[in-house]
Amino acid sequence: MNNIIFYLLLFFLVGSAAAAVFSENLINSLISLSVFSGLLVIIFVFLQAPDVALAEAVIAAGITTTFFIIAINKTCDLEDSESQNES
Amino acid sequence: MLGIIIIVNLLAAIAAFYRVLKGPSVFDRIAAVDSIGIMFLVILVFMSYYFERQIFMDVALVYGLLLFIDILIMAKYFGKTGSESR
Amino acid sequence: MNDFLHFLRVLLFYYFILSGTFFLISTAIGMIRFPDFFTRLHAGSKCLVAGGGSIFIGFIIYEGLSPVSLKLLLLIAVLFAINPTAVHALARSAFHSGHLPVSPGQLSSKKETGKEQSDE
Repeated sequence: MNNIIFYLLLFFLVGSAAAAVFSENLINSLISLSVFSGLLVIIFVFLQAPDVALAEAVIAAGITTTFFIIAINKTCDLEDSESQNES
Repeated sequence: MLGIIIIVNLLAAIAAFYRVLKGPSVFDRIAAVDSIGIMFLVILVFMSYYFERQIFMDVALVYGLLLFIDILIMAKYFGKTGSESR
Repeated sequence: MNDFLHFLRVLLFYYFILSGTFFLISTAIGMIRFPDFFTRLHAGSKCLVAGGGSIFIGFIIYEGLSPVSLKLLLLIAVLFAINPTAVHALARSAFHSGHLPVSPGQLSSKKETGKEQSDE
């Protein structure tokens, strides 16, 4: 039972990481990164490390996503990237 | 029995990840991320009983509070840029 | 008598767990199959709160009276407070940025309207 849960978690981790890397729009990549960090918390809990999981939940799921959203919103021109993605 | 229910909840999260990959707009993806996050919260509470260690409940509490900030900031900033572009 | 109470507690625990799992699976199916953004948001709001709250109530019944039970009660209060707030903010932001709900006459040809809305 442990093997099935662990392989399913790793499969989902690789899928969400590939969706974050190979997406052409920056917003879609950022949303996939949020799912990736939440999945990493579950994997650290599964590997019996609750303190690392707590730090991961604060840093990756909270601070990194918020900083990336504000930084992309202030620097990048979102209208051009969306029009390039649709064409 | 608890292991089977964890696997079923994980398969439900993988099925909701389809909407993150193929959403027509940004807001569909954010709604899917909200549902996936609460499924992860349920899986964390299940794992606290699956391994019989009660410390794991704190991780679920912290992750639930941070998910709320995450969704709220996504909705605010992406909605503003979407209204400017239209 | 004490044995019977323990059996009843385990039975009620599995009842709440299985009903909550059913609600979470129905959330995933609704997130895939529904045609519009606002209907997907409806699936993500109601079924999700029902499923999570049902599962946490099941764990409170299984645990009894202990500090972990208080922590689960706090988790239920957090879930009931944050998920409608987040969904309301999301729907308000989407409505102000130009999304409109699909009228019932358009549901028969939902694929064409979906493509038209994504192209705009």
